[in-house]
Amino acid sequence: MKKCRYCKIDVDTDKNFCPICFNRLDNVDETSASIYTLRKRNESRIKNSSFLLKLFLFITVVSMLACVIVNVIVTPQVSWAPVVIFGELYIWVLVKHTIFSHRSVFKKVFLQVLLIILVLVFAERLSISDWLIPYVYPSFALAVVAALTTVLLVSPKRSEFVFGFTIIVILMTIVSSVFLIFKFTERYKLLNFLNVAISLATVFGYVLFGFDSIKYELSKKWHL
Amino acid sequence: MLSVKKKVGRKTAWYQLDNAAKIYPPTASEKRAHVFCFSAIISEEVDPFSLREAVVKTLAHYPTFKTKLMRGHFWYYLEQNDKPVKVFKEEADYLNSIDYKENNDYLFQVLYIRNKITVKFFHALTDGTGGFNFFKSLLATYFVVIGKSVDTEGLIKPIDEPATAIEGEDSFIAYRNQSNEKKKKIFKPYHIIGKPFDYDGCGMITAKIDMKQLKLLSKSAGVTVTAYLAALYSFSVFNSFLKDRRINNKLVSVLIPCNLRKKYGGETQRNFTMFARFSYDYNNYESDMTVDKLAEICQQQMSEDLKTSNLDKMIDDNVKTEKNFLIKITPLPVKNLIMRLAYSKVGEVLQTVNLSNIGLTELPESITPYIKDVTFAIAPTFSCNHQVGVIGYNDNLYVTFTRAYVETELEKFFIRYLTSNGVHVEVSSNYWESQP
Repeated sequence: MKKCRYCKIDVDTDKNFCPICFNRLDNVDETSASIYTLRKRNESRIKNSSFLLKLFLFITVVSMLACVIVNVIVTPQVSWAPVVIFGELYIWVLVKHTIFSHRSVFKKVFLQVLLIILVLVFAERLSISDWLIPYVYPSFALAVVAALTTVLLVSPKRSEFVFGFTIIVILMTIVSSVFLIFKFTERYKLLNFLNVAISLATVFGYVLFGFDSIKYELSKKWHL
Repeated sequence: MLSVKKKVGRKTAWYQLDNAAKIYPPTASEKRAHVFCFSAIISEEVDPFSLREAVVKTLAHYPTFKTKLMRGHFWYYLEQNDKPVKVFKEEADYLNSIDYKENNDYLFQVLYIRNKITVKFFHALTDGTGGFNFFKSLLATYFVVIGKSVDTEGLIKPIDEPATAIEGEDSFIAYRNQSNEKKKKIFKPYHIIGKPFDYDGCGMITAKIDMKQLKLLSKSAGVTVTAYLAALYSFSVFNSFLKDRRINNKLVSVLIPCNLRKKYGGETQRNFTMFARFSYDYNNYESDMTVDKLAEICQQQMSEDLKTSNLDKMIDDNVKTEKNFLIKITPLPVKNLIMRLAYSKVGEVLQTVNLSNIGLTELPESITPYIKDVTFAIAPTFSCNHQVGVIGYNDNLYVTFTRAYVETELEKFFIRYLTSNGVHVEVSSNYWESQP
């Protein structure tokens, strides 16, 4: 124990100065069992700025701007820059949200499905192709339904997934229905009809066989 | 009605966050960790294997602590965590946010170094009282594991007693009373401006104060120890940062958390705390103002704030907000934004400093010979950069000052005031300001 004659306190330390007033301490007793064990700060906790992330962000923004400028100056009659911009944004989401994240399977699949739907609608609206909504979307949705159902059949964690997968299938059913009701396409409608029918049957199956799990997940995630 | 929804069996147990805990996950960050810790200096070197075994055994009786934080679609919630619990060697800057990934998602972290055991808690899990109950049980279990004979003597939850539903309840909802009391207007106080550290971590200074001598001082002022300390704390802020300075806002507000279990009962191990606020505007300061006079004002304000009708009002307002239909159906990401915004307007910004007194600790006689010191510390944040944790043990009061800036003027005034009034003070510091 040491003494600070200015603060009139005993100081439990190996150091030679008072932690309050920083004056020299008087040695009284060499034995010390301080509450704080004095060590060097842990350097590993001092974080470097994420330089790579910033670099990629900079490159993305610059390339987006470059695309817009080139598109406006060189080929103003065809607006292809939005496709590039959307593609770059999609890659960002894919890398940050889906690949390098600890989010749940539901969140990753849900956002990917949502983004792919947006990409297809966006591309169709830009008249890049007129077969994305009648053919590509329903085929994609049916493939997703098949994949999710397979996962549920084989996975031992099926009770955790069934609620989230039900939401995803409902989302895809709603999207196909919107395409049909609001006549997004006048052409081949059969695949979208098929998607609605199969998805509804799938949702019914999920609810029927996974009712307890869905009810449990609902009470947990929605606090019902 | 219990708000705890627990399902066991094929499905894992889960718990809604209690009413007070809901604000912590969205507002927590590296610079606002919302953590506090208890430390004990014991008589012998800590054995990490025995400590881990003790944590596992203690957790079996504290199911709400054996959880991880999960995101629902509308609210966060706690879900049973089946990952193994770890103990860590204490680092120099241990009072920082918990690395949940490294900690296997547990919301508390057990640390050890030489003869010191520390448990750090995220506030969403529990409050000071709940955390200290867990800490006491852990210490008792540790001594049992290393072969000591321990009798809990009714002062600690018996080591083999199973958890009850009451311990996991949200007492804010259980003890809520409707109230039509008028809401008190709170003004934005002064915030301490100091030179921030160039590196992570915070300065910690613990003053071990002779309890009897301090009690004499507070008794002579006719107030409780908490009121006296709060008054001295406020006066120290004034003398260190405001006196003779041209600062317009000289309102100093000390937030004093109060354990509602004493008032309402209940044995919840989760958050059940409300706050008293001691505010004094030093623009009205007169040179004859003393700590004793301030302590009287503080005692009055505390008594007023802690009147049952006022507490009922605060609890009712908070529960009403949680139960509001629009808030309930707002998706979590939007809710998080709203909560962050609300917290920046009515959270820590309405306090200058925080003084939390756990009270006098009574530990069983069978373990007191092995425990030399007990301390309680709260992590400072960027919006409340100075905090004080107080705990009493063995005729001493351990006052731990934590700060996020270099200067020690406040501590100097506080401690010198006590020593000049004949109180014996022993100080320990982590000397964070002089780190190489």
